[in-house]
Amino acid sequence: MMIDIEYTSKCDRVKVYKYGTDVFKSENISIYFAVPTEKEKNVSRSLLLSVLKRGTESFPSQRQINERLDELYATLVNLKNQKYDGVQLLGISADAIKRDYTNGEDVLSQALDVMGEMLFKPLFDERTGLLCEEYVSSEKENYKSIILSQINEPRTYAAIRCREEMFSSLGLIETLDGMCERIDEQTAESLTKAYREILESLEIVVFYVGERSASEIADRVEAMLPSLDSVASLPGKTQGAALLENREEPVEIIESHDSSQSRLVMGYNCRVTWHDEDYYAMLLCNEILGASPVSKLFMNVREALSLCYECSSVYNSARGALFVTTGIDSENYALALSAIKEQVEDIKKGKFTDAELSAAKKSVANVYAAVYDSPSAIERFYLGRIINGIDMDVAGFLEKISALAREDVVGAAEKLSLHTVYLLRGEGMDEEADRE
Amino acid sequence: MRRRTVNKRFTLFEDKVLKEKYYYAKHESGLDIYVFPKRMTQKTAWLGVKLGSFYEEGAIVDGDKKSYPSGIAHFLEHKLFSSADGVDACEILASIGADANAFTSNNKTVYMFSCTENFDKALAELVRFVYNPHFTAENVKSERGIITQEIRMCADSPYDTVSRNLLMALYGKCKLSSDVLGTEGSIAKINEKTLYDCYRSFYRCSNMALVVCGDVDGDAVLDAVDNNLPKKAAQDSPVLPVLSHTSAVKKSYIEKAMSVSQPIFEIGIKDAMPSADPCERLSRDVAMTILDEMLFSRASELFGELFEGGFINESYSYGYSITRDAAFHSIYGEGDDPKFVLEKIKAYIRRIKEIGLSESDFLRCKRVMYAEFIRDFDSVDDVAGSLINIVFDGGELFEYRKIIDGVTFEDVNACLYSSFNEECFALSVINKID
Repeated sequence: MMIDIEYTSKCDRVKVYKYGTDVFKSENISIYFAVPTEKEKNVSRSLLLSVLKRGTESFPSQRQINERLDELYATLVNLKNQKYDGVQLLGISADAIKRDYTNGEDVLSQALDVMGEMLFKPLFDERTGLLCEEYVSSEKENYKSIILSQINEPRTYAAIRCREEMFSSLGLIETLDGMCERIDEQTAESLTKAYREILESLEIVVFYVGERSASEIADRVEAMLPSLDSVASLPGKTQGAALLENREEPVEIIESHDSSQSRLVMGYNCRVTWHDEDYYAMLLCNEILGASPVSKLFMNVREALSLCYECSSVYNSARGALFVTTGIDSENYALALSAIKEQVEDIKKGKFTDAELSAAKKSVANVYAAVYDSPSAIERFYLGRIINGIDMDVAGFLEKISALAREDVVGAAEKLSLHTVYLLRGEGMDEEADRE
Repeated sequence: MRRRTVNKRFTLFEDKVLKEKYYYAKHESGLDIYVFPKRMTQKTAWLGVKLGSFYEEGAIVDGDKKSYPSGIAHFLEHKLFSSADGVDACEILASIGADANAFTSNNKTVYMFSCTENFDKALAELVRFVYNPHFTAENVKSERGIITQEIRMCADSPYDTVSRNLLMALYGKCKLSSDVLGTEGSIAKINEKTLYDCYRSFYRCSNMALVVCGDVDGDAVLDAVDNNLPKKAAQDSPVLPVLSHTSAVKKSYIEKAMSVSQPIFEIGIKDAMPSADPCERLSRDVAMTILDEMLFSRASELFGELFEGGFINESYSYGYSITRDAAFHSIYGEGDDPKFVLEKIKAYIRRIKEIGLSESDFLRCKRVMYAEFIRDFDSVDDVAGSLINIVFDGGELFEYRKIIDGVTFEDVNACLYSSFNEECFALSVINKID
């Protein structure tokens, strides 16, 4: 097993990974159903997860669940839905205060009872034998309102629109409207079917951060499992995400919006995902370009040209794409566009100093070293690698970064191909107070 | 809590229940220094000054009353990173692996960095850049362009707007509701001279504090301060203005239409003027926070009714905010009928005032507050943030835990009847554009 991680399994169905540490005042556990990723099941699974938190046999309403968790020193329970290449993990996490601070009360143990109920004893309608109809319809509305509220902030909305334009035409992602249609199609029946399907080919993945042994955790989780009449074979992995083809010429899309500022999002395709060897170089390239307050975008587009407050880049290693985003006055659109392109071109030409390279490496090191200071970051770092079979701790990861040379960064930058330029053009709000 | 003198320079504060301790030293310059050891990978240092949007007008400095344009505290925060040699402080910190940041709120400005190595060097740089301002007509002009975009970005956000409008409804147009960023009009009045003047008024060691958290050595912290602070005589602190307000809200309803998918709203309930005594403020903060937890949490009857009824969705939050100058409760939600929700809440509180609070709810909610306090000790940033908040407000961090421990059902009951009067409610709504 991986360095730092203790592993144990139960009856081939429960896999427990533990990261041992005593530095935190709480202990953290996530319990997941592991299922093969299937794009057409994304929506029903997310919806199912939110129905599970609405009520259980012993705690029929969400309010009762919350009340119980509050009694348990406000144990924080969150729904988790992570997608890796080929595998989706759907589940619940809990962060429980340790005994040392609760007058000896074992909070996690009691919180596990609640989690077990939520995962395996959701509220069913006795009459229909289906998941509670009322909760299904209410969660459909909640889910839709969350999806639709993504239009509220121009900066979020512009980022979503650019991603949609890049990926949805190829069927790689769902648009907001498409998601809402998918939600509308769901019924208590379809969700119950999805739930049974998951239980039938049950595989549980557990990640625990704390001082208990992995086997204690495994015993507790095994005890939660329902007795299953027939157990199907374990699910296999499906294929990883498909990648986008480059465009000869980028497509420009301009839409109007009732806002004072315009939001520009530039989608670069790079086709480098996190299991490519170039992944590390792309990460560093993104750092130099726009991930810090000393990056090229920040120093040049913001500080030198004072075109914007925010100008940054984000590397999406699952999709193999990089997005640059900024907020500007619409009359500066052409200027911002060429200034941003110039920063990317400069990296391609190797026009960055050794100091920039070294600062970027240190910045990545700083971010990743901090993984050990947060249970959820520990889980994020290790679990993703475990699922993808990459045996690496943070030190190993940082060795990869530190070994990169300038040519590696240039090589990664050369893969950046501008695909979509999206401008959400602010048409100005009629503002008296804000301008004074 | 215990306190004792550790060596000539540090005083120890310790809490046996939390199993935490920190050290305090008063530097000869007047700077308060706090060192909070944590066995974590990250180390952080926060250098804060008691200058926020509340104090931009009316502070008494060396006998003179000072008034600066709105947004100057935040403008200074942006501009202090510049230096005479043209190298930004962020760059220097990044070159040694430290990640720099800063923020301005209504009562403070804080400069900070986090790192895993080269802590002493980074601390030296933090002290150096905060105490060596460099403002020119040119660098001020270019910063104005950047801040203008920041103002517009916030104006375009319905979430920022709903809160900003709520303060306007609660307090009317005054410093209590003025935006930390200022306005495009007010920042046009800021130039290098006003910046230097404001800097000299507030950036005095006696008006500042340094908080360090992580696996660090206290003596090295003192050395970094000794070696990098410009040598000059200790100065008096500015006398910060006290902002007063009426008990009734200025406007009970405020709305604006924006591109939102459904109405978003924030309800504010103005509380009485906070006590001038920091300890009393802390006690009220604790009792009110527990009360709000009892009344509004996701385990409350109110939430159950509103959520199950479909009047609000998952985007819901609530809280009590108290500073030296003002205190209010707020409830945030999204739903089609904000006015109905407001009436529901008013009726709910009237009913609770009639039937009384439940003692078992109190015990549960007190436990929630204690648990949330405990969790803050699992992050160097949360520790530094809590510590600087509490010391700037005149309190002591571990005293806070004792107050949580000591708060009684009667205290919380008294809070219920002293707050939530009908004339104290205001509703801020962002409606959909038709």
